[in-house]
Amino acid sequence: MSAFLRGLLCAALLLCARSWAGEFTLAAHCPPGFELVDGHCELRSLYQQYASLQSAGVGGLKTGLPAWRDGFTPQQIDLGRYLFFDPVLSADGSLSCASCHQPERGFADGLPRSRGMHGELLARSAPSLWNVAFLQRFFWDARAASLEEQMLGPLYDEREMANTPQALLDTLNGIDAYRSLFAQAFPAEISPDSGGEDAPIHLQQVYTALAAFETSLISLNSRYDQYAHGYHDALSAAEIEGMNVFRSFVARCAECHTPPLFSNQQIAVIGTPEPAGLPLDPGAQTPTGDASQRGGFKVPSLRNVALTAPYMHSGRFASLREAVAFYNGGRGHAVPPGEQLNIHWHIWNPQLGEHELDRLVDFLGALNDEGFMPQVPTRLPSGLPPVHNDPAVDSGSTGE
Amino acid sequence: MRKLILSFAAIALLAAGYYLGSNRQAEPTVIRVPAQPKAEFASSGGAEVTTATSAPLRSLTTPTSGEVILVRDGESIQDAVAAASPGAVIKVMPGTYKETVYIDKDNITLSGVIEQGKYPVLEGEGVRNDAILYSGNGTTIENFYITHYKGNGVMGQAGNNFVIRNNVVVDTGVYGIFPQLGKNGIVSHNILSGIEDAAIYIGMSDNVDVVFNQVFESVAGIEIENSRTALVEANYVYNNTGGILAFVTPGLPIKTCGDVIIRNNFVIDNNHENFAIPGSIVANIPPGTGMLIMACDDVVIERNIITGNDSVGIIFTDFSLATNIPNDPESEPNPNRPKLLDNIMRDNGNSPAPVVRAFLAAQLETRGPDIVDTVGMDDGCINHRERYRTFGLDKYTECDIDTTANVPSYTLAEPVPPRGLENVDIGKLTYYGVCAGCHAYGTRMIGPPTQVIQALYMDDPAGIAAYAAKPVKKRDDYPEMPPQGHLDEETLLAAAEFLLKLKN
Amino acid sequence: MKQLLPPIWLGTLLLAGVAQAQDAAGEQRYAPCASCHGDAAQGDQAQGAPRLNHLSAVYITAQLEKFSAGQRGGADASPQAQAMAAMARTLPDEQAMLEVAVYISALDSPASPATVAGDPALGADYYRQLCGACHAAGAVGNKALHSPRLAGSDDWYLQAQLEAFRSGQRGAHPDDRTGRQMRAMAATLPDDQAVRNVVAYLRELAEPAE
Repeated sequence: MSAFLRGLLCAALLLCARSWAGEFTLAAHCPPGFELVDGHCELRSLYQQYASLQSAGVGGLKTGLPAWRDGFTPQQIDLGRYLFFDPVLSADGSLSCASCHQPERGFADGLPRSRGMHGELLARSAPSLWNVAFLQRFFWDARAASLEEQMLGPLYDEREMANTPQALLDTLNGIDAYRSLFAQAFPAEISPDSGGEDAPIHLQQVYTALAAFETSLISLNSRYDQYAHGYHDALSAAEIEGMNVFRSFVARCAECHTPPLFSNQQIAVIGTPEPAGLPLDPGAQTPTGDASQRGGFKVPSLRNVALTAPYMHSGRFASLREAVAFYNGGRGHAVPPGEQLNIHWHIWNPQLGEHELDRLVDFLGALNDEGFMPQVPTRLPSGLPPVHNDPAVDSGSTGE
Repeated sequence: MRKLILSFAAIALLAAGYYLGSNRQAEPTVIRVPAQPKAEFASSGGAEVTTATSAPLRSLTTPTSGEVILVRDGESIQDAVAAASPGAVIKVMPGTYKETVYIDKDNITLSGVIEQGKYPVLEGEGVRNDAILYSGNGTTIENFYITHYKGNGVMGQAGNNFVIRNNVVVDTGVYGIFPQLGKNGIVSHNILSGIEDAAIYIGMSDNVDVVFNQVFESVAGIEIENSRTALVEANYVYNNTGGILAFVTPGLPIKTCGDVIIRNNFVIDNNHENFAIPGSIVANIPPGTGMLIMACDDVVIERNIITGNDSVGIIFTDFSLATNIPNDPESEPNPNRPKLLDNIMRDNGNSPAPVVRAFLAAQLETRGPDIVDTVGMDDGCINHRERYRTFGLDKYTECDIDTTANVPSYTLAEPVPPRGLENVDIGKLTYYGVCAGCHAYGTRMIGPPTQVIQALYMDDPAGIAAYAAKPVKKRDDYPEMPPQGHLDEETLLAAAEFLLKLKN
Repeated sequence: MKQLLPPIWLGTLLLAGVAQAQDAAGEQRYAPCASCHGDAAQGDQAQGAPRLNHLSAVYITAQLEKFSAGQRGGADASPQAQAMAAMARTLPDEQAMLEVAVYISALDSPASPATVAGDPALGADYYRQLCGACHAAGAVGNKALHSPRLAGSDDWYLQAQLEAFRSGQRGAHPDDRTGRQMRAMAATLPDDQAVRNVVAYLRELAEPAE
């Protein structure tokens, strides 16, 4: 995008923003699932009544949660919500975080591989953001250790939101509404270097607010959870049958997709196929340089998984049924010729029946819970319209 | 006893005198006697564990309420489990039961009735996945004959306080008995054979005793994996590919293994061909392995009889054996601080498997050793090292303990407490964790604000609880409240009481 | 628009006899009330008597019972409320209260003019967040929750009652459950300006004067 266009956009934004300034107030209450304690939001869940072995947050039905992040203020979370949905974060104002992490698609985008700023296909699919508060590692290849580190990728990758730190800062600082909202979210007592209403916005504040919002997306109240807490009528007979296949040592799903998060957060090499014509994605081998991890990806949580088709890192499987059938295909059956992968020991040939695969899909549907869905802002501090709805359609003009 | 000590002292004096008086002679014979008793065995996991002088050894039992449910041949065990309340004893009569039994309740005793040697048989017919799955706290599974399942005989998922005893598990699936992610349990007096991975597999668990089991013709006899404070004692382990294993599997969410006592076992002729599933970790075990300690720390091997294992009696190693697993930087590979106390070892290493033979060739040997440390740990110890043929133990010192007898069990003196009762405001967790999805304090979300509910119900939490369990639609412009009957009455009432007291 | 009577009351009325006879009895019973509330129950601000004809018969009956039982119009109440309590006690029984209530609810009149100055937009927001949970969208009331219709009420009366609830003049009697509920909610209004804003919004909901 040319400097001229960017300048034009900023000018337009300034005009818009002026008219909005002062009309935004940040929430003083925590989102659902959080208790306000001394001005900070602390996570509350029925799972907090349970312990877990070695506090690892992996186990069975009544097992405590893995370590999580909370403690942001209501204002920081709410500011993050505006930023998350605001395309002003991208270089040309065309993409917001929500473009690839759409609330109505399980905070993923429904695409095999996400599309970037000009509609080009990116390398991998957008993961769901539900329950990222519990994650220790981010990206499919686990290369980032925090949300703040992770978000630098999409914000500044020239194929994604294509912004630069300086341009992002200049844009936000040029919008009165954001100046005022950042001052609300980061008052002087929280950020000593902030000097009130007129103080400039810092990038770290942008990252903190986005992380605050993302870690507020909690989904732990599915019908499965009702079963786990002791209400056995919450699941149908078919779903219980599926749960027993899921945790059986034949299917072995629960060995890596460990409750209560339905991920053990480890790297696993399972050897799923790439979309036709694409070479093998080396996965975790790239950031670690460790050939033994070639083709390894972070085990994703399965909460709300029925909402996030297609599946696997590059979206090879269009449906959950296809995804579970992969595990029935035999160890390494989709590994390209010439590749020697250290396929995970739990990948074998379980010889599950077709009806068992159906029941697995039934059970996975019982992990849906969007009860704590945040509200999408109808107006944005930038004055831009929210754009997260269906980039697959929006980008149709860019070459599909 | 005193006489014995005196005679030892006399020998000591004699020896010292001989030595002092003959210092010009070459190659004196010295009998060393410790100047003071050795220390008691210390275990980093021992603080919460039964000691010899306190509670009776392995007092763990599943609490019962007096409720007994009888299951006869032709009936369903699962139906009985569904009908059972915590504390029930389910008695299963001899017969054949073709089902998967899952127990997601606390304190259930599933007890077979054996008549004239006839067991209740759980028959998988080669098509069912696991025979018994349990996740409840306090589970006893006893007196079953389990065969022909595709997965596991008995599998626990995060159930604490478990007792699995007196079962016969034959020709079934991947693991015979597999408590995983549990704390405080006993696996005893089971007979297992024909298992294509570990017959008894303690996975990611704490405080488990594996005692008095007979384990044979399986790939791995007894396996302690990524677990802490485990006692493997008095088992008869023979003709498996590998007898007793203690190791870290990299890539699991719980990364450590340690404080494992392997004591008083018979580990005999574990020379079975390896018939493990390709790709599994135990597929790497060389046939003829008595014991394999991989990356597991503070393992004590004491007073076992280890004979006739054709590759090696005991091997301490790192992940170099597990070549088919991706590296995990968070898993520490060394078998730190091994202790070898007074084992009886004979006839090991007579016909090493190829991978061991290759290792031996590098040492210019052809016969496998009693004990090998492929890492060459410098913090290990061994008593009576002169009795054994060893490799790689050059840096091992004399142990400062004789025995671990002061740790008779690694089970807990008191059971792991019931879930969900300790220092938890269940009302608060329920209000914020469930109710708050629709009810905010002073603003309208999906349901009416909490302030409105407070005004409507004032001092009547039971009214809120009753309404929440079975709501009726009252407001045209609000969605109907979904019933919250998944929460029990006590929980609903606690949430209602919390709600009424809320101030913001 | 008049609210329909709930089926249970219709049933009662049919059982009681001919509707015509009811109307006649109700008219007779209303005669003393008209001196303050007016012939059409349209209310009279000068006397502090509110409009009644927009209310449901069920609600009017319930309030008459409260006045009669001393749950409203007690010693701490306003002079008008105390006077109303005395009048309510002249009705001999529940049947009489029902007859007069049915009569009143069948009357009609235009809403009284706006007299309270407030910001209806802010009031609307507050109403939607909290009040609407019981008084329903459009302030039409909710029989299931025993909440009255507020649309069409005199704004001066609504303001006075909100203030009475806030001060404890109304809704303090231990047996007045719905009054206590309303008192708790009235207390959540942050200040008098907020009261005026909500009242101004409710006034906007009254059916337009003909």
